[in-house]
Amino acid sequence: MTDDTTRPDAIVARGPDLSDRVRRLVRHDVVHRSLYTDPTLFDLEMLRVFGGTWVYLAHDSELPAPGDFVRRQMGRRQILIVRTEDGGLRGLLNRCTHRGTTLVGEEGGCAKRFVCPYHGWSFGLDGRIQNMPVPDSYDRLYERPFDLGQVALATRAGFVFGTLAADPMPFDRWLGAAGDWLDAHVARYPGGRMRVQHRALTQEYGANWKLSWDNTADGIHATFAHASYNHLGKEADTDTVLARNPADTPMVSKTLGHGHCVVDQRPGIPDGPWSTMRPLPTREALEDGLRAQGVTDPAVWDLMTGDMVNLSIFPNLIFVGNQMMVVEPLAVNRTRLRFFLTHAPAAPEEVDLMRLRVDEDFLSFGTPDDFEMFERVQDGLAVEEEEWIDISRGDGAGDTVGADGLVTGTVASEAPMRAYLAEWKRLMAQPIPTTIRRARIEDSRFMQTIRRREMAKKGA
Amino acid sequence: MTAGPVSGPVSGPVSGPATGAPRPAATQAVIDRYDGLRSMVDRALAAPVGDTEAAARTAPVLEAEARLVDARAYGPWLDLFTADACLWIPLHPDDHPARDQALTFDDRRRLGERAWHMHDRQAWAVTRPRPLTLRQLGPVAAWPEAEGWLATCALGLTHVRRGPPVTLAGRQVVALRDTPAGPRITAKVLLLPELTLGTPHLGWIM
Repeated sequence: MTDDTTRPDAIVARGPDLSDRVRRLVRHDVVHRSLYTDPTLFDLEMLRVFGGTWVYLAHDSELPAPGDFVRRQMGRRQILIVRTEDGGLRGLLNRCTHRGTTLVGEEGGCAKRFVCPYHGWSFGLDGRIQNMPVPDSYDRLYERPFDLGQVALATRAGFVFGTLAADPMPFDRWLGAAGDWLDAHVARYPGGRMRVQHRALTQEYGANWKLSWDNTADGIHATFAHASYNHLGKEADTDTVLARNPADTPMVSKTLGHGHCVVDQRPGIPDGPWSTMRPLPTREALEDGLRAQGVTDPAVWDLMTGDMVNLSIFPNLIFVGNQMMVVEPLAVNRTRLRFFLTHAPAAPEEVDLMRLRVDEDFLSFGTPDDFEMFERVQDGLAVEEEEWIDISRGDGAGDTVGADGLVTGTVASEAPMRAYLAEWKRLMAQPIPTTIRRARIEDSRFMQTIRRREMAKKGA
Repeated sequence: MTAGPVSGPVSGPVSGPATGAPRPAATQAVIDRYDGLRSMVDRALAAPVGDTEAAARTAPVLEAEARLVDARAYGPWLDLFTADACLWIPLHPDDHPARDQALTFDDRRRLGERAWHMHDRQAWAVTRPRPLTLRQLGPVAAWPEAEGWLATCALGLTHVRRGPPVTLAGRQVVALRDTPAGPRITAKVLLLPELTLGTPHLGWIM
């Protein structure tokens, strides 16, 4: 083990000790505005939060065949998630080990290998270097760590996560109670088969990424920020989920450990999720299609919309409706969201046809108001003299703390906010040792060939 | 290396239900509509030089549609659409509405909802402050079709509200039907390349 970063097995913990600072900035029921406005904190988040813990990268269904790959972000890093020839998965840094060229410009595709367009270095699907022009121009090439860097991967219920942490928390322990919710989310699909659509809707807002997290379990905002959307529901005589009085609903929010949380809206929807849907394009025809086939099982009808369980996996995966929202921080005051629609390939085709249209509704009339609120908060936080944000709702007033330390509250509770900020504090306090995983030079067929050639030349 | 998405859209009509049983008529009607939209876009993009008379009939409608929605005159704007009209804004020009989520797929009812929403003072993202928009149309190319016409033109959109202006460039493809009131829009498709990269929210787009 070494901290010499020219070595392939280097482990480095970058940045300062922030223990005192984060203790001052994140208190139990208030948080300092600088978490949303300080570029130096943002830079450290890209190392420690979006590198030092597990980050969602892809879903199994996006990579059905060997050679398939998708390109994703882990903080500022581009990662290629690749299906290898033996059916496994690798998370490769999309960066040539020669002079740093980004290897792949596309969002996804299918490849036999990855060839750098700049100098022709060629890498296999497992990241190992396969060839380069004029290898004899290197002295002791076989000692150089030229295989592509990799992140550690772990999978649960088809969801693929990665980390650069040298000694990460065991994945299932990190997922904790959220793991069961993830399993349940997929079990809803017939045959447990969920497919993620290849092309995401991509939008950006001019505010800090943590505002998505402040919002995800915020049950009060829906009444006010989404008033227009709720009115559209009332006009259609539909009791949409968001129109319900947050102070008078059996829906609950729960913290799940390590920043994860869930808002379970199902207790407030006795007639099932589909009963809450507004009129939608093609709805009547597709319902007629299901009836014509004798499909009456409410579970199938409910599959046309989301499960009404808003599960959020810190720091970057939020389930909302039929979509997975992936949070990509771009700058301290700019965030990209990718909305990946999910499909139920084993359900009647009317289900997926309807799912296509369901989430376009909220994306049209609801999501813009969320973005508006985020940007207005970011603008408001520019006032330096107003330093603190209150996050105390529910604490000692409705929240219950279980023996496991997890908190259950109403949808008005801000316990999920307090919980993810506690996890943020844990990750940000001290440098996290990270490593670029790389194939051992001894395992590289290319390097062994070069070495034998060099030895033969020296012997000759 | 093969570029492009892992499981991209397949050109041509969507295949039938996996069971092999005949598709219900209602479902087939939806698929047919979707196939028609895809086909309409393909025809417009690959069509030869436009027909002068068709352009003369359709260009005024496209001009009026753009001008009225910029002026927020939503009543007359909606009158330009037939009862069975739809608006489709795919995320990528190659997408198919039966297979791919879109930014927007509106029927006439939802177009009406959008118009109402653009006046609702509680639609924070699109009315507070009130936006200014400008649509710029390129020359219209059009061709006669069975029910009326197919028309297309380049399109530039500028939206000013809060923060930096949002500018988008693309193409619109419009199907029109001949009615007693004149040509009316049965389908409008907006192809906006910036959607593939990411944009601010487009809750104002119609």
